[in-house]
Amino acid sequence: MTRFVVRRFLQALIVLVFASVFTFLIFQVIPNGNPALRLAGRTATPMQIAAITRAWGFNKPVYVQYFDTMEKIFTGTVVSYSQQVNVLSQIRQGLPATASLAIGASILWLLWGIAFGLLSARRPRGIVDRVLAAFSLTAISMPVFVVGSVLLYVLAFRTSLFPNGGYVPFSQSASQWFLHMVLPWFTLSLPAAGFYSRVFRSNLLETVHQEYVRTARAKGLSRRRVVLGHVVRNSLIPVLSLWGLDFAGVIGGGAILTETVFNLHGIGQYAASSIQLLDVPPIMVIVMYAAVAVVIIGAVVDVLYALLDPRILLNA
Amino acid sequence: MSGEHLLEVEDLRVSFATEDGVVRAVDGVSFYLDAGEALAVVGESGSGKSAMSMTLMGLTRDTNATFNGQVYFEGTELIGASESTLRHIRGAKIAMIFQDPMSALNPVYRVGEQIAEQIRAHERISRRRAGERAIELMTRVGIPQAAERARAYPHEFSGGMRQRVMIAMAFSCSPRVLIADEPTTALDVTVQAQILGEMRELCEESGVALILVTHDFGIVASVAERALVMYAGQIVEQATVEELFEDPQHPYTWGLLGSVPRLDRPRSERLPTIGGSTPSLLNPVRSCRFAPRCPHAFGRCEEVPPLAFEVPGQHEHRDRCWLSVDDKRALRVVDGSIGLAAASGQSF
Amino acid sequence: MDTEELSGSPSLLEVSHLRHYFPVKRGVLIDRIVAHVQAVDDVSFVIPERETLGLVGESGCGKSTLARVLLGLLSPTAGTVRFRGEDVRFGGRNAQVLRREIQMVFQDPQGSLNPRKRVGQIVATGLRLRGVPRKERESRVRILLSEVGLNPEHINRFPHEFSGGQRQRVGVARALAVQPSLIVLDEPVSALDVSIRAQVINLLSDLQREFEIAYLFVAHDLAVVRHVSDRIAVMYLGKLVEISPSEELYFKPVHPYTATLLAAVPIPDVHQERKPIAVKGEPPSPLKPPPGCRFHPRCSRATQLCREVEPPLVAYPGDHLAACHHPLNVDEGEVTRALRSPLSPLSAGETMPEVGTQE
Repeated sequence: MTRFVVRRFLQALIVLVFASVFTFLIFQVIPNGNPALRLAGRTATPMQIAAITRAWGFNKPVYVQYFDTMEKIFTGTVVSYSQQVNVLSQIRQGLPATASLAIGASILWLLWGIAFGLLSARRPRGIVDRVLAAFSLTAISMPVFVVGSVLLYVLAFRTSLFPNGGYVPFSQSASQWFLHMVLPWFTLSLPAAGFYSRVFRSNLLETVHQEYVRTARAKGLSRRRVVLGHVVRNSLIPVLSLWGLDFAGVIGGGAILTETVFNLHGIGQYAASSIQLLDVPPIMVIVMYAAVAVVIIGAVVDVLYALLDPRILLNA
Repeated sequence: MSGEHLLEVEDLRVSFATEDGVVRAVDGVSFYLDAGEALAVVGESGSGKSAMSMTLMGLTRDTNATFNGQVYFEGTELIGASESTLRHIRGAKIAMIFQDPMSALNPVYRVGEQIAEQIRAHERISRRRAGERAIELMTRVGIPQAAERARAYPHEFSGGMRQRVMIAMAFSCSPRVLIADEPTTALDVTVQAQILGEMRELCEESGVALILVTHDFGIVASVAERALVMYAGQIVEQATVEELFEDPQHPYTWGLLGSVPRLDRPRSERLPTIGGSTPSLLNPVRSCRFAPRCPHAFGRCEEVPPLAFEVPGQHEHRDRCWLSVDDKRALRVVDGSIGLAAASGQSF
Repeated sequence: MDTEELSGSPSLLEVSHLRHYFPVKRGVLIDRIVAHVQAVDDVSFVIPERETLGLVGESGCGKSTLARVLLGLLSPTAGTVRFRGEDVRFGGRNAQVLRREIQMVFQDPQGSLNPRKRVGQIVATGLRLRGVPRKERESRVRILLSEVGLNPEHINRFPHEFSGGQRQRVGVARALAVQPSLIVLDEPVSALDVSIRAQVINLLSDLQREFEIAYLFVAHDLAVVRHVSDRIAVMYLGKLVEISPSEELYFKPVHPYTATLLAAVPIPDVHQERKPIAVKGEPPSPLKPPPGCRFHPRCSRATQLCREVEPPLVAYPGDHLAACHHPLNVDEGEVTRALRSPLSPLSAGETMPEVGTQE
């Protein structure tokens, strides 16, 4: 088991290195990427541009720039090109919103997906199953920004039932925090819930035919015990590992559209605006932060999976 | 019906409604089982043996299934009994073990837990005490270092050991009947011999009646006292084991006995075979189901379903065939041993 | 057997000191090989033309691995495989052509046929490989289908439309299409119903006579193997422990393991009350096989010699070979005339067996 854990984390480290290098290189090769131009502003003279290039070290070889940037990231001094603001502090400011969104939404879509999956699987191809299948398909297909915008318009703008976007920290007002998060939670969860209910449903239907379920019934276990202890338990394991990764994606700033539509000023929104401005430092940092989140949570999920399903360790 | 037998099955019929029609998996099966007896059920795929054993346990899931007939266990009628009644019998009074112990055990739970789970489903007992009982059971079925091994997962055991775990589970609540569905087919032959021997000992020690579903006549001869031969959802012959081997009455039985190569006899040139293949259980014919494959079929066989005839002088021995007993005894010998004449090889 | 090769043409298949080890990898970041599973450990035997060699053994003995090596699905770690004298191990056109002479029929009639292809297509693949022109293929496929007892009119059906026994026949037809000289059958009837087994077994004998094919019949069902084989080889934990003419095997097992196997097979005879020769426990893991004779931890006749020295494969009169220091069912005369066989593993000792303690 220890070997398994160490192995996972070492692999994680390698991935992080690659992610950072790759991202850095991307921005070296894209057109219009010259950061000196951006820093200098619209009315820059060639002399100003040259001066900025020298001052910021843009004339140094690529790998030197890479290591410089990495150093700045790790010492917390990295500054964005567009506003000369410390990137890490920006990220720290955006974290509460992103974290609230990630935690709330992921719990919501997990429970939702499990519930709908269970309901669908009870009578496969029955009425409930078909209705929920249609729902899932619709939910997965609807773009997040459409759903979000429509909800905002109907429930916030027109009717003032919910606030019109923005984020209020929990410490400031718990009820306001909650009201501000309801619509974003719902919007982000919708497609995921649709997806998870289908995945869980199909796991359930497969598990129910397994021989050990027949054994469980033959042992005279109560129906509840058979369903919960054997069918659901075994079907949940792959869903949980999926969930871990999806959660990591959101907390890594992946919910760009949702954050932007609801103006939450989280990490995702910061990433979106930085990309538009081709502002390399924030992008680098966010990519690495996201990579860290995904890789670490992924490793944790792998370990949890091994705890839940001991067969994994056989091949480790 | 009287409660003179531990288990009495009377004209059991189990059908499934499918898109293509009605499948009559079990079509008029009657037999009994006494306490402590060992009964073999011999059949191939499509014979209905699995549907029958699952029905005895009340395990048939299908909502499209219809049941007719009666199954009496210790006087209680099982067909149509409430789920709660069945649940108290399942695992506690009638236990079952299956063919493939690897897939029959839940891979994510420890073995000791799985045994304890069964005990706790039927008795009010603490978790710890159930765990201790599980370890005792594991020792009893021959698993060394049971206390340690109880904490292991199924995939950490070899095939024979896993089957022993299944046996431990089955015996955990002191059942009266054990149904073993091809319990050793997936195992090596030396392990099979061990497991069969141990199972039989355990049953004899505890007075547990055994229903052993198998296709291997060697196992029937060494373990069972009586046997049923099933074909296409019906019992075509039932007898004591001696009667079955020495005076088999039904051509299907001859075919089965003859087509199996035997180590203790000289090699034959060609094996006698049963031509054709097992009939579908979908809308089966009303006449003799075996007639299409029977080289001795005649007029009546294709018209009227044969009744269960008792062999004169052998009260346990019944079969469903229109041939007279004398004809049967004359026809069944092929090249000095029992079998059907070798098929020509064409089997469209 | 081994003495025959000195005169006349090379035998159809000659396997010499064949080994196949599976590496076991462990490591934190990079996998390193830490051990080997000695699945097949120095096995030698010969299959003459038109004969059937049965190969039996329990799980972990290496028989399936051996079959796969012979078919070219695995490369041997060491040793040679010669087909009519030519080495088939290496790649290249020659080996490829030779490989067509060796075909296979597998255990699972469902899994071994491509469910998306019609059976006609499946069988025709072999004809295509042989270079049979397209025009002729269909008629030949029909002929092959009827040879194996199927209706040629079903040429366009899919595998799922057939029963298990019929699918297995399709597998046989497919193997025949290439006109092989040797067919390796790995548990060809164990997934079939009892009454269908006899049909397929009879079919295999008929085809062998008609097409002059040799078989390597790998199975765990001793009675079936004995019925179809001319000679039977018994494997235990990667080693060949006995090779016997099939008539003799039941009444004259020489190696104690063979005796245990035979005793464990239930006989359909109500009056026979045989007490199985008690063998303890289960086969150990092929990762760390016991030293000396691999069967010694479970053998009731084991002595110190057995624990230390691997017994050589010894040829007794009547072409019966066994690797045991204390053989069963052989008398003084036979032991005296016994010779150490060249098929013996290289790791085996020189000690010849002795008749001594009876069971």
